[in-house]
Amino acid sequence: MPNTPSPSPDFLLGRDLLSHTGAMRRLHRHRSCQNSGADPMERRNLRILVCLVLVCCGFATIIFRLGAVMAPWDNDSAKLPHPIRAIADAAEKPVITDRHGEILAMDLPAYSPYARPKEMRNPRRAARLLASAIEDASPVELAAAFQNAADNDEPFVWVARYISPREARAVMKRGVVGVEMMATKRRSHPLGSLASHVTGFTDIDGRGLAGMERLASARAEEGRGSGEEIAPVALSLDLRVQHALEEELHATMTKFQGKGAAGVVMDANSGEILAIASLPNFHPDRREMLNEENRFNRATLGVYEFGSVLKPLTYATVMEATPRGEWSALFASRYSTSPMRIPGYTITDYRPKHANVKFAEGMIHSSNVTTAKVMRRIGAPSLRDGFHRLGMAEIAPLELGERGLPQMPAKWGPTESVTASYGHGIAVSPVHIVRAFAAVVNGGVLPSPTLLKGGAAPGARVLSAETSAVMRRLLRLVVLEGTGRKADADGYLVGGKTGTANQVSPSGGYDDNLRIASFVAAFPMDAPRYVTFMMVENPVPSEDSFGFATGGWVAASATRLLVARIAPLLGVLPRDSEEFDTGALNFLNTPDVNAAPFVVVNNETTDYSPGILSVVHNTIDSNDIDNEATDYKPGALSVVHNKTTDNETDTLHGRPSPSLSLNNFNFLRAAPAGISGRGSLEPTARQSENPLPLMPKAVQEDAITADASPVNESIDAIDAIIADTLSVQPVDETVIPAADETPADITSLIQLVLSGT
Amino acid sequence: MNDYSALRRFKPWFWGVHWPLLLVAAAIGGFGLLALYSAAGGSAEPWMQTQLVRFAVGLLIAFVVASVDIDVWRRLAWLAWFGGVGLLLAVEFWGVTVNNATRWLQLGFVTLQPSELMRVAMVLVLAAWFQRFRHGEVSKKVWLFPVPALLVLVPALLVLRQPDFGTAAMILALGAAVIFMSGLHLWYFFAGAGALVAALPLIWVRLQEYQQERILTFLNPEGDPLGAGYHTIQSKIALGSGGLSGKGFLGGTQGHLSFLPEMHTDFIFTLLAEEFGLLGSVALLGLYLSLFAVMLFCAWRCRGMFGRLLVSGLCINLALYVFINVGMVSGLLPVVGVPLPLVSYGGTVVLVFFISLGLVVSVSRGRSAPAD
Repeated sequence: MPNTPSPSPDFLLGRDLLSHTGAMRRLHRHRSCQNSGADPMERRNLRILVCLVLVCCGFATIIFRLGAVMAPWDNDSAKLPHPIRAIADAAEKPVITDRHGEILAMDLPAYSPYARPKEMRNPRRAARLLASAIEDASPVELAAAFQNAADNDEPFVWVARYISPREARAVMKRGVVGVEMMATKRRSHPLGSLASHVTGFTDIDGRGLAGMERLASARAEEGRGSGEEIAPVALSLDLRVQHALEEELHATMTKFQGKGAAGVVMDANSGEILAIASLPNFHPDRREMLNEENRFNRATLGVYEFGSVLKPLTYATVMEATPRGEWSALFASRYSTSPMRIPGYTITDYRPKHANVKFAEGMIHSSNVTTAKVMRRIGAPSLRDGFHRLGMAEIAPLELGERGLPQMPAKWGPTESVTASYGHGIAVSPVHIVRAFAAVVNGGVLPSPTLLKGGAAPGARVLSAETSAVMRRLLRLVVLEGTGRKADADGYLVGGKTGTANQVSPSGGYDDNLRIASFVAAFPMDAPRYVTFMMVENPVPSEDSFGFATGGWVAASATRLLVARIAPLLGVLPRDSEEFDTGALNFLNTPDVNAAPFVVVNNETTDYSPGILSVVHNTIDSNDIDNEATDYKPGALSVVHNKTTDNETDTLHGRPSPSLSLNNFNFLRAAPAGISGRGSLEPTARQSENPLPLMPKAVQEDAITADASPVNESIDAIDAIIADTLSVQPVDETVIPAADETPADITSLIQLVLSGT
Repeated sequence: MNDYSALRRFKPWFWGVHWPLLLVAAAIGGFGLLALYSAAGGSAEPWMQTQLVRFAVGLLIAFVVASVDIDVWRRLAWLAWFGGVGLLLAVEFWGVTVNNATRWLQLGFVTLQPSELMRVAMVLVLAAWFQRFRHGEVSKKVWLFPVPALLVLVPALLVLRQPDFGTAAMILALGAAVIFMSGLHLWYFFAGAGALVAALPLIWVRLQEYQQERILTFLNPEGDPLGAGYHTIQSKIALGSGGLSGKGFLGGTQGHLSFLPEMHTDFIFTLLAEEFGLLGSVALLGLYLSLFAVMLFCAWRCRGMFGRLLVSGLCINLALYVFINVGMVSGLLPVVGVPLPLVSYGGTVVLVFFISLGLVVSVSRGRSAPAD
């Protein structure tokens, strides 16, 4: 065994280290360069040093490597390809819900595998493996994508977007190099196509492109970095109503083989939209469904010539422009329905009556000629102003981006005004119709439609309450006796107007086969709470409809089914149809045109007095009435219609009713004596003689502005209160507060009213 | 007086313990326990507890090994080598197959990976064989060289049959390192490297397809090494998400989301790196480095050829573990099934580590004795 000298370790160490330095090594080499085993001690220690150096080098390498991989200065997100960075930067989006909190859109965790084609050795094999892990992937397409990206020197390509955790796991198990996984959020719409046009859709990275998703994205951007959770976007939609609307629309559209359909259900007072649908629709998560046809929102973006559904607007405008004193003459006026010539056109009616029709009949039977002639009483500028006031010329205020710009006549000449009076030459969206119709029936306040819960701005008064009251009766008559009979959902006092309009064909000119059948309605008509609109595009006449495909057949039937379905959901109770007196005989059976025996005056200042007051006619003396009517002051009158059948007789024969119910008696006591014709009541003594003590003002207002529920039991009490307060309440420019979303509790309302007595 | 004598008896024992080695090993083991705790999602079950028991058993073994004179171990070297080869052959016949590779031997309660133990035995036997020479003397007796070559090649080929290319390569590298430490002339190493290059095609043909792909990945980073690449990429993601200071203990996601299979074994460094960041990783590597420095210092001070070769060989063996494991995790090396000593979950490597530790201490205790 070779033995080595054993100096002290310290000495050894120093010498060994020195031996490693250049000087000592040169010295050694010089001294014993021929001797290979010169100093085994130093050489073996040198090898240990080499070993140490190698270990250190190895560790230095891996530490350097770790630094390169983990380094904070080499930020991972900065290194990411652009699309990924965009997702990583995307803000968390708020949930979209309906008014009751049902979720329409939300973020869900999802995974997106992506590839760096350059790192792939065998793209085709990788594609095959990946396709076996991902449900919807095609190996051929993936391979092509990888190859394409590799050819174009693209560093990045998505393998799939938003796969399930299960698929993500499968992808990882395949272990394909060059494929990495991105955990992200996916915008998901759990209810599928329900309310899809309202919800809208996002791009694949979750940015809202349409509908309320855009609003959600905007809110997410606003709330970004604030650290607070963004509140859900609560829509005004009621998904129950929405579902009913979509189902009825779909059924009707299928039945009549329509090309499309649209519908709206709106709160007549607040303007909150409870349901709005456009068919065909789409599933926001299914990209293949997002074609132009499906995406198109007929309810808000589409503008159409709706035809007769605009007649109520014309009638309301005419009435508004007519002094109250001439209303009796207006209602008594008669018109020939023979074809009417205007420059360039001859107007005819769809179903000519071959007789002189009255003002009301023009509406009830939807006579174009009559409407045109009625319009002529006020002239083109007044009609134009009226339509403008009803919001027909502006883009409807709505949170959606998809809103159509109405097409109005460039100049309102004689021809344009005539066609516009019955809804031609003027194209608006269904939302416009619903909005204007709400103003016509709700007491004259044009609401500001909204899709956000509680998001409605106060409306503006555009029509007088009296006009609205008359229109409600006329529209009810349309359903009771006119073209809209199919819409009469039993018990819900539906009123509305049909519309059937041929559309302009692409080649120009109206095409008889392209038409829109529509129906706009409100219910219950004595105090409308909801306005509905339904339309079907290009319905084909069917055997069931006896060859008809008009608004009266197609859309009115659908509306009846819809109202019957949604009214119970909305807390509208069915009632006896008799409870709302339309004053039909007053309108229709006027014995003498020249001496109209009645005046129709509405004494409601607001629409929140449901079913309480009706149009009233005086039964004393036509001369008196004429006089009084001339002296009419807005809002100061309260003319009461007697509900007993005697009154009809009275109307016809101009005789006072021999008997008066207590109900009427109270009304009459509250009404100005001159109008009511009851000499026993003196206007000055009215207040003091009121047998019902007055409630405090605030309570009165509460009672008045409370929701419109049918409260038969309390009619007497409320009638008296309202009749009494009307004389002091201003009528014009009343801003109506947003109605409560749920119907007021009837019993509590009764208690409220009775507590004042 | 009595107490004082007891203290006197205690003192040599106390200073007989190689404290630097023990403390560094304890620190590394602590890292490992934390990692296993985190890998189980913040639970001592199922890994940390078992590992703790293994540490205790291993420490006991280390003390036993250390307290036995190094000369005894030298005489037992051949027995150990044949025992190791016997275990490898046993694997050949009765081994447990996992992931298409038969590497494990089920011995009642414990599953052993004999190739790990084989390397310790190989270092032992090489050191024992070279002990008869002075440093570099073997260069003049080249006709004896087939003996150490066989001592290295037999286990290497047996391991390659399992197939375990990584361990086989490690055995070859380890053998070469020990022979290098023995002082064989550098020219032989150059010649050996040349022969290896010449033999590469032959080896290549014998490799399994997945092994070929792993090497291809390593040689050609643009390639598509199925299986291997996935681990590497996921671990790189995990490493990258750790950043400078990490996500904090139990704060990692990649490991916990099961993106990394074998997370508690071969890829545990990823978890540590994700949770403790670059600083934590470098700290762990620093601990290993200081462990190896202490070991090499023992080798340095050792006058006998056997002790020096044994200690440096064991040190290189452990350093290879660490280097290959971390290199593999960080994408520097191809993926081979090499655990991180004292951190990865697994009994064999704990056994290897503590036996190595015991042998080193035994050598360092014997260094004051007259050298061979």
